[in-house]
Amino acid sequence: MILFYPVLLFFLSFFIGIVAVIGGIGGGSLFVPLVSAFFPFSFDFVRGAGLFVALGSSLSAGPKLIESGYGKLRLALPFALAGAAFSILGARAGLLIDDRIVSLLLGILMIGVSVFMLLKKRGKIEGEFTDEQFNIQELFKPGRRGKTAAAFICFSFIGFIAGMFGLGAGWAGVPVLNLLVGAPMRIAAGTSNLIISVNASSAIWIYLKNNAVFPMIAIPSFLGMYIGSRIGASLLGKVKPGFIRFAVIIFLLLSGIRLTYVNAELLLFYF
Amino acid sequence: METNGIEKKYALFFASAVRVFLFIMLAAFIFNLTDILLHSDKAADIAVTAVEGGELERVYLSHRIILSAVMLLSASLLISFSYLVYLFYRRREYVYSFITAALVLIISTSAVLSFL
Repeated sequence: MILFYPVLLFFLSFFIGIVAVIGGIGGGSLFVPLVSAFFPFSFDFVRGAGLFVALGSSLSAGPKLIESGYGKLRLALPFALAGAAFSILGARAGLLIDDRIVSLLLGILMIGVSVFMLLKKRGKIEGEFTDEQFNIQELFKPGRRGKTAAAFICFSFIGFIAGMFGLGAGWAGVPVLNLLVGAPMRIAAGTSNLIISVNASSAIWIYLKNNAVFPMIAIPSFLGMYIGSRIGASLLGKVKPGFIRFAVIIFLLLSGIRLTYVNAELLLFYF
Repeated sequence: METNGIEKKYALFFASAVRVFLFIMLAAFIFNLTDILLHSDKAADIAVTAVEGGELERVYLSHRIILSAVMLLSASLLISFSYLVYLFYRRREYVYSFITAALVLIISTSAVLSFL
């Protein structure tokens, strides 16, 4: 019986790892809403595990992304700086605020994300820059400063959300890098992964201090996600992502509706 | 290219750090699982704690060990970033060196605060 939840979490995370990669969303963003909506664990433990999953998978992918050139260190570092500071604030805020309010906000956020994913343009969007030597000075050239400032604000907000809800929030980072910073799609995805590792690495200490990382939940989830996302990555070219992407959106929407409904009801009762 | 040199060196160091700490964490988890399976009379406590949340003061020694391993995993980024500060500094890319140093400062402040 003691192994029931770890085994279940392993297989669920394994499944999430596969569909998340094919569906184009970070594993943590699917893990936290699903587990908090349908499992009886404390929300703090789920967020701690979500952050740990995001940290572990982004750290594992990081070196390969840097080596292949998709993860640009010089592009990631300035935005990671903003994200890291705000992820600590987000983690502190998330642990201070009542769990039900945070769950309710997560539910609303997930409904928003699923609508965003449904409305997002299909097809390949290329960024303004294709230069391999992306330089920080490019970002501060006249005419780009407004967009760069907007990107910094967005990454501060993304960091805050990542810390507060225990998500990687790659679904938000990639469009910001692509549309505001001008990075090509693949570079945006690779660089966003590096930023996630920094955000998660800063926020996880706050969760560790508050005893919100429970190994029996966090580690099976991490292992399942790690293996699942590797299999998902190898299936990327072979499977049509359309249906899986739609399934991911439905999962997010259902978890969002459930979290919103359950917690809105609790809050109404409480007040 | 010189700049790629930094990225290659860093990626190599980063990958080694992550691999070592992942290995330590997995070893700690196996120890933790064995501990739980050998002490099945206390297992119910853990299940309840895991399901309902609450105090983790009663955790086993192996839980403390595994949490330390998790800390080490997040510290791997801190260590590799410190190396990156040095690499950027040596290449006289002071802006990046400064930004990376600021990141090291933020992550380590968060880590230090977690012990206070």
